[in-house]
Amino acid sequence: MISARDLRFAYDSGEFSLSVPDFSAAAGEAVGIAGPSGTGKTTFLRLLSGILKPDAGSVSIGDQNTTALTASVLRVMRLRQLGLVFQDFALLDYLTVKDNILLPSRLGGFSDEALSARAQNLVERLEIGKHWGRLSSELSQGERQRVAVARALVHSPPVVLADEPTASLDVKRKMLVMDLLKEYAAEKNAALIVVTHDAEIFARLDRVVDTEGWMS
Amino acid sequence: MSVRGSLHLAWRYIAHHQARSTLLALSLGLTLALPLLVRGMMDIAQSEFRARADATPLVLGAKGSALELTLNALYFRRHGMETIPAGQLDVLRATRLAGTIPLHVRFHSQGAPIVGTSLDYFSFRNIRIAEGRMMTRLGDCVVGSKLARERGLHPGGFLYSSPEQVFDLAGVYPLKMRITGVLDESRTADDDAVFVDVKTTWLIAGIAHGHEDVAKNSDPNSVLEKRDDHVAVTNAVRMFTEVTDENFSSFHFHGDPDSFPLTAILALPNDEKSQAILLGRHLNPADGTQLIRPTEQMDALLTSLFQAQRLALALLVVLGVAVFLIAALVFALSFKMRQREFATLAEIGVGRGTLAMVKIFEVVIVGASASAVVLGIVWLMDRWGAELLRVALR
Repeated sequence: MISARDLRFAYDSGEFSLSVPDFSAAAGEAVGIAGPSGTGKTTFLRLLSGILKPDAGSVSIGDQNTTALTASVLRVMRLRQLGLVFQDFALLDYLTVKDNILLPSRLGGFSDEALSARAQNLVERLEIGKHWGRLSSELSQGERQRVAVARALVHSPPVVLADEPTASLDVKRKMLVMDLLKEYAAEKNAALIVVTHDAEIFARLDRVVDTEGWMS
Repeated sequence: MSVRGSLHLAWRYIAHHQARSTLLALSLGLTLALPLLVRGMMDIAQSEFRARADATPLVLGAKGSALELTLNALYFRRHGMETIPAGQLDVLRATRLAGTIPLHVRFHSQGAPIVGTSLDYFSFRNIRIAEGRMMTRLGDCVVGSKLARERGLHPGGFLYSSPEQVFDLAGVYPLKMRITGVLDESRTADDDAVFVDVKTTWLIAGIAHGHEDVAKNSDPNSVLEKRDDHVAVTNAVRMFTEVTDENFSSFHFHGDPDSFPLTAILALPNDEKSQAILLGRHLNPADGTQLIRPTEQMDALLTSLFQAQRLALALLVVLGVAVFLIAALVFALSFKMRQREFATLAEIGVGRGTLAMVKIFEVVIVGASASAVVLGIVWLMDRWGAELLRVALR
């Protein structure tokens, strides 16, 4: 479903460079990316999502080589085909939980009643339903993280890229989120890629890729 | 690109920061409205001033400021006006060129001007009685509609003239005036005034008075000396401060009526020729009077006002540009501070066009709110501008 071939990327500062020979996640597969801090896990996810452009190599979603797409087409693809969970959640403080979850679909012009109902269903599953109309700035870190997860899944994307999606959660909620993500991947036949340090999470994933050797 | 989504996001941001957005919209709105306000008030002032001045052909008064004389005769503004003797009425009448209406505007009743005049004034201004009847006797008064409304005055009630100086024991006595009528609304200075016969103002001035019959009084504390043709009395003699049916006959004037003061005489020429002759005769009078055309005075005043208006408008334009630049800076800083937010949206996949549209909608919403402020102010000016002007002219 999503794959990377001979990816190479270096920041302008030249601090480090990333080199990923081959990576792929099939439809319905849940893949973990694990490794020590600073080994390029987040950078890799940003390369997969097209937020960063690789210096060499390619990324494909389905049979589409996304590195060959123009910036505007890539943005539309990202909005519709990817579900992104950011490490810092990337919620807008002045929006309610509902508005935050529906924001990408609203700005993408594909929001509808069914999507709103699905969003409500997701927040109930994630045990934040009572916060539906509250501002995201009024929520705890754990609650905000779950809002970010709901936002990534609401438009049923075929690929979900989650950067530490359970970092702020207690054990119970951590499993709740992971179960939901796994269930989603299985139900929608979506590729799920999760960056994490958490060994408990590894057990819930189909396989784990170690980032050791990616950095130079 | 979703217009609805962009508008929704812009609106949520504005609504979340409503105090800041309202302040910005108010500042912009007021700045935009100020030149319109100045212009509008000038138009109202022009029509108000011109209408009353156009309806008043000539005014005779003491030499001095012609504008002060106009304001006194037309708007009853009291600024220690020099007076002319009442004998000037006969002088004007004798020319057979104009009708005359006396005006004596010196006193007030709790701030409302007391206008001493004749009944001709009301037919000249085309003001009718709305309630009660016209004044018929010394000490009677009729009141303007607005004054009556504000103070709850009705026929049968009373008004007191206010003393000119609180500690002036030898000065003017407050006169208790009987209200006989309330005038129809005219939306002019007449609505705020108290009208009395000119003789009543002379009574307030102390030129006339009424007191107990000293011929029948033999109290040595009151009467010092009694002869056939002369009675000398003391301050113990009771002075009347209200004219009643019982004491009316005791009121009398001292001195030559022709010398009694008037602040102005409204001269109503028979025709244009009569007006020209009258103006010609008063080109260089030796009797200390001046005959003016209020329209000319108002034109001069309005010309000065228009010059001031032009200067004010120029300053307001500069102020407006400054405020718009500040508003632009506020928006620019706000967008800069939210760079992370816009970067996040871009990372999610929101296009540049959509992000630009969000910013534009935020500016448009604040701009629309500012326009609503402008419309509100213009509406208020349209509705209350003339009223405000009259209050300012009081």
